[in-house]
Amino acid sequence: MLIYTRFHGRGGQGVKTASRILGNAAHFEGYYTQDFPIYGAERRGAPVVAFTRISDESLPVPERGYIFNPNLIILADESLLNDPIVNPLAGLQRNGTLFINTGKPVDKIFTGRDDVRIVGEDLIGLSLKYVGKTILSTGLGAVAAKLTGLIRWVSLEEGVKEELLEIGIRGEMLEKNILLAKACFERIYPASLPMPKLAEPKKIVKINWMPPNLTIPEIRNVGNTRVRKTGNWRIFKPILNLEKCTKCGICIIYCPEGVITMTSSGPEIDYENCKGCLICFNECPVKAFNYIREVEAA
Amino acid sequence: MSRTWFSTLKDLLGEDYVEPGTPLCAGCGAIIALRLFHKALGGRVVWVNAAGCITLLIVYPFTPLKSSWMYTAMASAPAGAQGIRDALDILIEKERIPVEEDLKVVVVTGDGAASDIGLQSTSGAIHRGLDFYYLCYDNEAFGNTGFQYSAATPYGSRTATSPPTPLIPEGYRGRKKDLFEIWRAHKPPYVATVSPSHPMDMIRKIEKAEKYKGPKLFISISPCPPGWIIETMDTVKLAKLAVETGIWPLKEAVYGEVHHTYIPRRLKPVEEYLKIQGRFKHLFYPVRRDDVIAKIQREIEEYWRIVYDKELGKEDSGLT
Repeated sequence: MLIYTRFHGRGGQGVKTASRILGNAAHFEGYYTQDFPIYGAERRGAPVVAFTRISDESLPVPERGYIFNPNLIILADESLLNDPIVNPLAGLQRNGTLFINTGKPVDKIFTGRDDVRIVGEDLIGLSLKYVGKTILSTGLGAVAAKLTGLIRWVSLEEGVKEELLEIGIRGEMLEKNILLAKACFERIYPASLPMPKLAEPKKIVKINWMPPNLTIPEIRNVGNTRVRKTGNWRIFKPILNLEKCTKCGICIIYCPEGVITMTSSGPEIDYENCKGCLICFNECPVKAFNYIREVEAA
Repeated sequence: MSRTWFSTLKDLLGEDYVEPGTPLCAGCGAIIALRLFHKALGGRVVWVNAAGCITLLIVYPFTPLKSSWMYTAMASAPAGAQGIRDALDILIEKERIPVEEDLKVVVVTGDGAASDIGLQSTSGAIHRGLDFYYLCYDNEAFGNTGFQYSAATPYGSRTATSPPTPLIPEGYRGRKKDLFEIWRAHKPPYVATVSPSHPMDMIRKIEKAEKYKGPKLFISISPCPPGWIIETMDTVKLAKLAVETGIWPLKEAVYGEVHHTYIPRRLKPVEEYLKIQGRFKHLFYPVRRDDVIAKIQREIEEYWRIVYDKELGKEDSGLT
């Protein structure tokens, strides 16, 4: 019995913590486990990956290193689904399970693979409801634990407690996180996962197609990060009410991304690159900004 | 050379030299400071960077800047600036490029490179009288690698390498290195502290610095949402609070002569600044550490008492 889980998400969403919660819970359940993230620059919003391997006495974790052949993929951010660099579905086994954190029906946002089971759940909504913040780690860990079909609630609860206490979350916040874990745990139904194919050394690496303007560098191209479209980092979308706006320009000066420009009718937000930090909402002297959740906006 | 003068905030809405789409965290304070700095200096700039968060701005083949950029090792950004400055001077002297094509050489580093690893090369560059600008964005730790403490980390802060434990409940026990005073001790033409929350103050200082030939150094506070554990929307609010509580004095020093450009008439209690940051949460929860908070407050008041005495006279003191 082997379960190879790969977590994909963005920095700050708690992907590493989720992989540790799953590892802890499986450990308390009596399995052998490994959990670890990819080391890299730890920035909020940048794509990150973490892994958990679970096995029992019949085959104590036979491999080390990154997981290229997962039978369970947990995707914390639906915007990564079609990202050619992250390529989150790479190596997913036939009959494996893909979990997508989304507020939309899963068959609407992904139809690329019909040989895998796809599960969706709005973890941002649940974490706003139970914790009051957009923290995904507990929810992702709980969902992953349930999808393995091996872990009972008592072990998961212990795993969540151990991990969150270690990173300094205590008292009321811990209670809220456990409620959230329980809610996530109860909403998901497990299915049996296929045995992952143990990796063979590969000589040829397949590289995905990318548009030429991204792959052919031009050293005299200045300011070309604009094409990278960081708008999919947003959880909340700022909305400007032009009737209230006095065109003072304070939002333009304080916008870290420089996505607000002054036009003749007033400031305009470039949503293709706005990261949704909401400094404009907070600093506007006449409170002309409002914000809504990105799912409602779509 | 054409020159823009900034007199009101509206003048700052003009050409922007930093494009969107950067890979920096949402709500990054450093990029607000960099954007304003670039606006004030104009487009003819070459940036020299030492390893830090801002390094990730430019990962080949992408750049958000409309100006030039050179990346150096962590200890050697001012040395890199010296090379570029010399090359430009020689090219102009030999009339290989016209004087109008001269560039301003600007070093941009984080607090780690500025106050730990790159301190000696900065000291050397100031000592040689190199004509350059230096912008240090101070997020008070090594933010890019996961918020380990640096020499600029303040007393009481939680970092990845100084977590509050039963043995050391207050977090980081060291003191913040006073980089402003270290730089000022070299008596360069211009040293200043700036804050992204006070754009006009920053622009005025840069305009003033432009008159001097030689090292012109700036330290900007740079709230860091993932490291300081704050909401991304609170970046500017925190920078503002840091100035108003007095923990981040806005000042300048011309040839070593200090002058404060913003003197709060009444200091806000530092608690307001501390309690909205996750990195100081252990001072309030589960047990309130009045001793630590009082120590931080006392240090601020001692600092400002001297400033009030010197620059305002005792009767105007903002301390009660």
